[in-house]
Amino acid sequence: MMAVGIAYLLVLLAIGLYSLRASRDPGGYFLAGRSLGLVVAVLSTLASIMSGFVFVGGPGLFHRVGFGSLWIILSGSFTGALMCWVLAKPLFRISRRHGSLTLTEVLRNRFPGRWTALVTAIAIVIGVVGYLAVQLKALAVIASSALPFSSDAAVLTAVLVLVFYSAAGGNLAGVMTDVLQGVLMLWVSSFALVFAVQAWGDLPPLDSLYGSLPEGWLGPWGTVGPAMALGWFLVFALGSMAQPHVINRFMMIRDLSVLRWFPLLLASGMLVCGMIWISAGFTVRMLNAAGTLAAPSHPDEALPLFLAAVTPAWFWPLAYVGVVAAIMSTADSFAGVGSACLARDLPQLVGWRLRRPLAAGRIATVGLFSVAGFLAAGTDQLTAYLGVAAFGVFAACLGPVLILGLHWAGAGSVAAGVSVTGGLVAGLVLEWAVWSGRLTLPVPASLAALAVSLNLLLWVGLALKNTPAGSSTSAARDVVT
Amino acid sequence: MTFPTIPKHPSAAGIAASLAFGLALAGGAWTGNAWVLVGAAGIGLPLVAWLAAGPGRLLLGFSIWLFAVLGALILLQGHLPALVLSLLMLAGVWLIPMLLLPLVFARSFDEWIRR
Repeated sequence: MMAVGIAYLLVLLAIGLYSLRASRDPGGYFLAGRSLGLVVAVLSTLASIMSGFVFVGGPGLFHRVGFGSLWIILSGSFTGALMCWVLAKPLFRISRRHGSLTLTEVLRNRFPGRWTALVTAIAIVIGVVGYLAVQLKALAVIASSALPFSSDAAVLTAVLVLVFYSAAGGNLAGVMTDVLQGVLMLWVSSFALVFAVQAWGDLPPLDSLYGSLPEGWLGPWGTVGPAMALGWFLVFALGSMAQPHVINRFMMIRDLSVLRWFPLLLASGMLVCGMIWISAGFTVRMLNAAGTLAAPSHPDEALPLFLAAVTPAWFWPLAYVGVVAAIMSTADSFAGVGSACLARDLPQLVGWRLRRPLAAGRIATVGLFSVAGFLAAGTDQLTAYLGVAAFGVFAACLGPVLILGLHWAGAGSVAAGVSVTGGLVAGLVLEWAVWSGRLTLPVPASLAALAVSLNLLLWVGLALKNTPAGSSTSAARDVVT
Repeated sequence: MTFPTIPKHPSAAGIAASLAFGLALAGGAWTGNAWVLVGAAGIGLPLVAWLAAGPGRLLLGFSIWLFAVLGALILLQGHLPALVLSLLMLAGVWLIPMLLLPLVFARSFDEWIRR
């Protein structure tokens, strides 16, 4: 069993060493040399999206709230097409024509001045730390699971390998490892569904289990109700277009022609990977209801419990590697985005000139993982709820300026700056107020923050009456002409 | 397939739709009213793609589809078994859009990339 895990980590180490030699300039380190074709773009995007949030947090959330949890991933069916329509062209063109290596640089080219770019960089760092904490928390769940080879030492080794190849090879290593990890995730999710369906055949009639399930659990809104479920749907449908670790793939592709089948392949991959959410969460809850399996002590343990109770022993090491791959692939993508902000964007914005930007990027990567580790250790929140909050920071801050701002010439620098700042402040304040119990909202806090930032962009943009000639840079004209 | 132009100066319809979406989002977040949120989804998701020059007629169809499916899920609650409604949700919001939008994107790709 150990051989599979060791072989996997050795391959990652080899990719890290190769990338260390291959990524000798910022373009290679931060944007993987702008060389992605269709298959690599799809697999690396899929691996970046599907994380410990989906593989560990998702089954846990399904176990707790039922089918209503699926509204978080339902929009995955069409967000690939929306991302292409809305973002692919402007991001690709601005990054090529102006040599932008990061999302912050794209926005700085689109919205003149430092305000929008500075707040964007700060928001990205905050969101990256939150999302890395989600991944580390998911790894901790795996470490403490009932599987025989799970241990703190195994997880610590995985984290060290992750930090090594992320720091050494940047996004070049991230993309290369994502391909391997994406294939592993698809494989594990497919087999998990087969084992789940086999287990459903052994369940007693559903009618006899209804009484043991929480009210509403089997319905489309779950136990959370329509408002919260639709709120998740909106946050994730719109927020998908504001996730920097995902949309920076449009800056890495070889050319726009590789995107024709990108949405269909991405949506299909997300469907397959999303099945782990249902397979594990539904099966464990139904086995609990049938009395054949003890309830998990914490919802996040639904996946390890599913693997141990429903799947055969030969599948465990591969499943373990697949889940760890999902966690690592997202973590390395975020590490790449976060280190670019810390080592490139923020120093440029405050006027510092770093003599060794790649070394700074590597140090920043280690620093991000360290801060995220402390955050993960200090919270008892469900992995999924932590993931929703981190996702929501990006959605609220970046959603409006990317979705509307890149296309609407009337969105000037002031409107963009107000929107990004308002989204960040509203997002952090509302999340804190909800988590601390000081405020109860009928919808996710991130949706309320998104409403704030969207309205700020619209109303301030209209009030200031910006015109393309008066407000835009050449990058803005790239988009609107 | 028709394409609206990218709004150098947004049309009155584009601005009106954007404002309606913003207000629906704010209203839904404040009140938690599911119908307002259904409206926000029906307006907002097609709107963002339309603003970026997606195919107009398809997105109008997608808007109507989202209104219909989400509305049906609310209206039929209590009238159909919960699991049947959940399967309707999976089919209507996941499987059918998953096939429809990416295929239309691929079909209209040549025109999209020329613009």
